[in-house]
Order: sequence, then C-alpha cells, then structure tokens
Amino acid sequence: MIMRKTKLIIILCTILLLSGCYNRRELNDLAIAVGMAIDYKDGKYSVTVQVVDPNSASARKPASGSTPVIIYNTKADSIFEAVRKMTTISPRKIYFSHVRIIVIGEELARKGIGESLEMVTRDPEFRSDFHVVISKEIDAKKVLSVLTPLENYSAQKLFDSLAVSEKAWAPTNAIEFDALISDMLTYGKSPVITGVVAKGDVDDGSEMKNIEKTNPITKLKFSGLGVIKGDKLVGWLDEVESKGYNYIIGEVQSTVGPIECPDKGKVIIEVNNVKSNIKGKFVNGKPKIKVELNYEVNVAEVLCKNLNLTNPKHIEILEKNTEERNIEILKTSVKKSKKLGADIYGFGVALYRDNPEEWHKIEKKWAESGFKEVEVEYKSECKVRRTGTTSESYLKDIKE
Amino acid sequence: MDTKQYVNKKQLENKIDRNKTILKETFNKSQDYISREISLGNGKYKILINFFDGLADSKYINDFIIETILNHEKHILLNFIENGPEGVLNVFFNTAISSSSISKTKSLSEIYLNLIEGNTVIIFDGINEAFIVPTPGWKDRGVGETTVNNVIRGPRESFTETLRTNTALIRRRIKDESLCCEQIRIGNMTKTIVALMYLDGEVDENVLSLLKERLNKIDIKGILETGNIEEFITEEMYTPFPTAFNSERPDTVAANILEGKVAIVVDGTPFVLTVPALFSEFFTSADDYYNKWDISSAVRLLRYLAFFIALLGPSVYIALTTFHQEMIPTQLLMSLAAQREGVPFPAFVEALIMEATFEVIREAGLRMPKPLGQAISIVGALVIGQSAVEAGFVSAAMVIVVAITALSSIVFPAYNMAIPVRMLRFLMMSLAASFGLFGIAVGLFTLLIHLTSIRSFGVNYMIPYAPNSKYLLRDTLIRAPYKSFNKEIQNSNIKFKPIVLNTPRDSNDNEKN
Repeated sequence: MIMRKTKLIIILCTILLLSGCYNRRELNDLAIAVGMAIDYKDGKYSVTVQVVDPNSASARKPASGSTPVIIYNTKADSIFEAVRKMTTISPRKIYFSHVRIIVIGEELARKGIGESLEMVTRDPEFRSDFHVVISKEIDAKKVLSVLTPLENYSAQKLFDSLAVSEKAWAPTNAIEFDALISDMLTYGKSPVITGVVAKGDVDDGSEMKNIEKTNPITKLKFSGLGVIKGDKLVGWLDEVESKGYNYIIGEVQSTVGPIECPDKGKVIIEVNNVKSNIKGKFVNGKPKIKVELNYEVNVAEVLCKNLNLTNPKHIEILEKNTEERNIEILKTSVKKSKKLGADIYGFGVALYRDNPEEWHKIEKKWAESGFKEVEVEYKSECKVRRTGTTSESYLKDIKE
Repeated sequence: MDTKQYVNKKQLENKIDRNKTILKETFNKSQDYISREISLGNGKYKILINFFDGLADSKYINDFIIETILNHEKHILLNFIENGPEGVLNVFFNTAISSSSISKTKSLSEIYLNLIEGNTVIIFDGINEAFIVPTPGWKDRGVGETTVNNVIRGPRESFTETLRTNTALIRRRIKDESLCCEQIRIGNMTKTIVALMYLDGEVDENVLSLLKERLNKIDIKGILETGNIEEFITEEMYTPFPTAFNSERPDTVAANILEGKVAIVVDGTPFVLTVPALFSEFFTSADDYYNKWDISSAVRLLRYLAFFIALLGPSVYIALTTFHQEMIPTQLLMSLAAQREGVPFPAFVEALIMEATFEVIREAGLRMPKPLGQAISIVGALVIGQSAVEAGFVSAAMVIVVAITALSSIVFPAYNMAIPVRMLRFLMMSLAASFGLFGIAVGLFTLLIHLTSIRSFGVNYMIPYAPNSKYLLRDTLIRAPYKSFNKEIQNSNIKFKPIVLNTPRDSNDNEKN
C-alpha cells in the first residue's frame, strides 16, 4: 500500500516536469509593448510598436543616456505578419498585454479600420481595455516616436491625458477598444475616436533633447473627435461639436464654458453632475428623439461688472443663458453629425428600445436617410450651485 | 495507581534479611539506592528503610520516619512482644508515621517503581508487606512563564516538567468534581505516567474510548515528550497537518477541556496535548478570548491572511511573473522587469534559492549556541538582504516576497501549523512554476480535499467549516461577542461548545452524541 502510494507520488511529480513550462516567459525575456500604431502605406500595413526599456522607465533611477522607449516598425500585408516580422529586429518577443493605446493613422482610418483590428480582438495577449485614437494629419508611427516629459513613454502619456481631459475638459472621448468594436457592430450607433495631433517638429520630438526642455519642442495634443461610419473615418467634430457629443451621451463629468452676462462681458462656468437622457419615440410611425440634459453649474470666473450673484434674478438669468447656450452646443453637434450621416449618439438604439418592431422597419434606411431626417427635441435644465468665495466681482470697483 | 501491570509477579517474603538481599541484588549496580536498616532493642526487631538518593526527600525521611521510629522504639517493641509483627504494623499504620497517605504492597515490581518515583519503602521483619510513604523530593523547575504560546493579556503561568504540578494547574482552573484525571503508565522502560483529564459528562465518549484504546496499544520503550505518543494516537499518518493540539498554557488546556475535549498530560514535558484537534483551533490564541471581540476578530482574519501568504506568497509571485504578466499593473511590471534584468536564474530557481537560504538561517537561529546569535543575524541579514541582490543572484522583489512569506509563517499562534505551511509552500512553488495560477488552483483544491478528508479521533478536522455549523462559525474566522453565543441551541447536539455557553447539569444527557 505504502509502496503504491510512493510510486503514485513519484509519477505525479514527474508529470510536473512533463509540461516543461511550455509557455513560461521570464520578465527579462519580454519586450513589453505599451503602444501600437497602424498606418496604411502603399498597399501595405505599417505596424509600429512602442516597447519600454524597463531599466530607464522604471521607478528606480533611469539609466542615463538611453531613451525609455524603443520603436520597432515593420511592413507587411497583414497586421499579424508585421508583428511576427518584428522578431527579426527585436531581441525579445513583443508582449502585447500591456498595450495602453493603439494609434491609427488617418489614411488607414479613412480606408476602414475593420480589417486591421481583427487580429487585435482575436489575439489572446491583447486586453480589451486600452484606448484607440486616430492620428490627425501625421503618421501614427510618428505619434509613438515622440518622447514626452513627466510620463516616460508617450503611450502612457496619451492614455493618462485622455483620461484626465475626458474628466475635466469634455471634448475628448476615451473610447475603449471593446466599446469601439461593439459600436461598430451595433445598428443605430456609430463610434467616435479621439484625434491626436503633434505640435512641433515630429522628428525632433523623438530625441532625448525633447524632454530635456521645460517647453518640449514637440507636444502631443488631443483635438476633436473622428466620426466613424461603418468602419471608415468620415469627418471630424471640432471642439464645440465634440463637447456637444459628450453632453448628449452623458460622458461629461466636468467641463467649463463661457456664458453671456445680462449686459456685456461673460461668466465662465464649470459644469458638473451632468445627466443626460436620450428618449426615442415613434409618433405615427415617424421617429422622434428627445434629448434631456440635467446638470449643475458652479461660477468660476466673473468677467462682467453688473452681475450680482446674491440676487436670485441674476442667477435665474444666468441659468437661462446657460441652458440656451448648451442647447446651441447640442444642436451644432447634431447638425454636424447629420451632415456626416453617422448616428454617433445612439439615437437608433433609443428608438429600438422604445419600439423594436417599428425600428426594424426603418433600420435599413437609418444610416442613409433616417438619421438625417429625424426630428430632435432638446431640453436643458441647469442649477447654479456654488458661486465661489466672493459674491460681486471686484472688477467694477477698480480705481480709474 | 497504575492500570497497566508490568513484569514479574514476585512478591515480598516474610524474612527481612531475604527481602534485603532481593533489593540489594536488584539495585547492586545503582549506588544512588540507599537502604538503611534500623535495629530496635539490640537486634530484636529490624526495620528496613529504602529510598533513592536525590529522588526522595532525605530531610523528610530523617525527621518524620527515622526519628519517629527511634522515638517510638519502646512502644514498637512492646507491641512486637504483645502482638507480634502485626502489632508493629498497626502502630505504624495508625500513629507512628506522620504522612498524609500511606499504602501497603506485597508486589516487588510495585516496590521498585515506587522507589524510582522517589517514595520511601519501609519493610518490616516478619511481614511480607511493605509500607510506601510518599516522599518525593527531586528538584523540579517550578512554574515559569510561557515561552512559546505568548500572550499580551492573560495568565503568565506555563506548565512544567512535573505531571502533578501540571494536573494541579488544570484543576486549579476547573473547580468541579466532574473533572477526571485518569492515569496510565506507558513505556516499558520509562514507565511514564500519562494523565487523561476531561469533564465527565461533557466529554465526547467516542473520542475518550478511542483515545484509551489507542493509548493501550502503544508498545514502546520510552515516552519522553507528548510528541512520542502524538504519532501513535492520531489516525492520520500521511498528512502534514497536526491532528492533535498542544499547548504549554494551562488556561488554553482548561478551555479545551471545558469545550469537551480530552487533555493528555505526560510526565516530563511542559506540553500538554488536547484532542480532538480542529483546523480552526490552530488559528486561535488564548488572548483572543481575553481581549475585546472586535480586535480579536480582526487579528483572526489577519492570521488567516497570513496563512495564505505563507502558503502562496512565492508561488503567486512565480506564477504572475512567468505566466500571467498581464495581471500585473503596468508600472509595477516595469519595475519588476527592471529588477530582473541581469538575474541569471528563472524566477522559480530564484525563489528556491531564497527560500532554502531562509530555512537554513531559521534552523541555524534555532540550534546555534546563544552567544552566536548576533553573528547569525548579521550574516543572515547581509546575505539574504543586500548582497544577494547586489551580486545579481536574485531580484530585490524576490527578497521582499520571501521576507513577507517568512514573517507570515511566524504569525500562527500554534507553531505546528506553520510546519505544514512551510512544506506545502515548496510544493505550491513547483506547481506554480509548471502550470502558473492554474497549478496553484489545482494545488489549493487538492489541499482542500485533503483537509476535509482528515479526521482527528473520528471528528472532522474542518469542523465547523465542513461539515458546516453556523453556530460554531462564530468562533472561527472571527470571534463573535460572547453575548451572541448564549441565546440559541443550548441543548443541541453540537460538539465542542464554546466555553461561554453554559450547559445546565440536568440536560447533560440530551447533549451527549
């Protein structure tokens, strides 16, 4: 009995060795990719990967002289081929699980992003919670080669500032990869992707001297939202239109904007606690959309002389002006997207939820004509909450 | 005194000279055996006093035995003349010796045993019976402070090497007539007294009878520590987990007895066993019950956390860094990767090196002569801490993991629960190195299956987790407030009731299982 047990244990122990640790990878065998860029040039995909050099990117003192990231670029007929081709130039196998951002070149985006992202959804190494951006006017590859201060590598910089600006500024949208794919597949909703531009000379930006200056030569900046129809980029929303988009889909956490004063000058307000509601309805078979917006406003800066914030009437005027201005913003945004013919707000989804049967009747025509003709009603409700530590601005008391 | 009869059935004879020769022959190579013959009335009557030097209290023998005999010389002789040897016996038994307990015996083997235990044996001429006067006077350590099961708040006393002191320490805490103290002798040579203490009526009869049966089966030369019998009486041979609980604290043992367990006190060791033992018991410390319930509960949770860290610390690290890099936050991964640059070994080998080094240092710290202590700690700290990292043998993160693991394995109040954890850690590490988190999951499942299959004296080891007892769960992962125990299930058939639960005497019958 004991002999049998001992034999069994020995056999079990040898089974441990049989696996041979087949997919074991030590940390120092990995090239950890944090960013990926896809361009389309001359009928071939050009894939760029930003790989971190852990020695200079870690919290410990970076090794002097070397850049924290390395860029590998290959061209091939498909993304996966290009990725595998990278092993010919990289000493280590590229590890994609920590990719924070995928940058898609504008040219490719206009051609269609569907084909190039198929591999990313299929490959088990990729997560689905990274962000996707489109490089506006420059190659995606160049965005990744810019060195950025504070954050050691530009992929992290893009990831972080996208998240921060979405929270505090609004005209950006940190769309995650899985949301992007599901938006592309949903009838009655089109995705948007934030655009990124590089300011300054991109080639200088890839050198260490870029981050040795207090005011870097080359900076990466988000600018506007790219509207995707199907899987193709059809146009860009400007700042106001982007903000309107974020208002409608309720993604605004906080933003600021100018409001007209009762007479002249303006008040800068901070918008908080935004709640939006898109309601779809079929009236006699005709689709109707109602967008409701509720939010709170804090007064941040008063640049006019005759506004008394202790006076309830002035507050009411302020609220009314804010509401009107925001409706304008919403209208501008919807107008632009109607022009582009992409239902980025999910009006179609709202209609489907209201009445699936009616929706299926118009579903086919929605992208072409339905959305462009749909009637949209706006409602904006605002409450002024905090007016800061002073009531009347000192501007009017300044001596001549 | 004893239930087990050893050796020869030889008995004393009538002639004192013959008896003297028998004893002398038996102990002729032991010079600490002392035999003093007192001759009364110029050799008319002889009394033989036997004892072992060092074991018996010679002052007591001088003052209360020899002096009494000499003082009563005439009285004894008178009685001898009038009533023969029997008269002498009566004088002694009734008046002469001022001792609380005197016993008589004819058996030689019993005489030997009593001599060795430090008693004095008085043999009279013409009588085939000996008097045994308890005169133990060997040196013992006295009740000291606890050294292993330390608490902040609670009694400081700990058991000693003397059985009688230990049973007295328990009896002082449970002043009830139902506390039994059954004694048997085990060990053909050591003839060690083993005392079973339990509450009659509260104890689980199955456990008690199983225990007695197993103790009677032990056939061994000597018992020097509870560990010697622990292996004989527990049923699980192929488990790293302890299935008997030991403690040097009288209050812990008393609490276990109150819960209906049996305490096994062995002469010669300050560690007392209690059975049956439950898994959750090894995570409790005496002061869990003396401190308030909130902090006790928090500390309990901490210990369970420490259990998993001690068991899985290095293996999770290995699994994450070699198989599941996607689970590590990016920044941390960069930092770990930077540390690993230039480390020549795989993470598993690295962990093995560090764990082995730690075990060596731990063992060295335990065995070394006290004056060497500092040298070991300096070498340990430098080798493990700094130099290994600087020399590039291991990464700094691995040192942290091993250090945390080592600390966690010292957290257990019961040292013998740290042992299986230490051993299983290496198994988990190799599982993690070959299959990653999947291997760890398989290992944990196997462990769980194993744990639930263990029995301690027929009782499920994992009570009250499995089989589940909601009532007893109040004293496991947390220690619930005492007041919450009182309301329910007074008369249910739950085993091992917490001591806060009062069990009325007349309902005892309902509660037996």
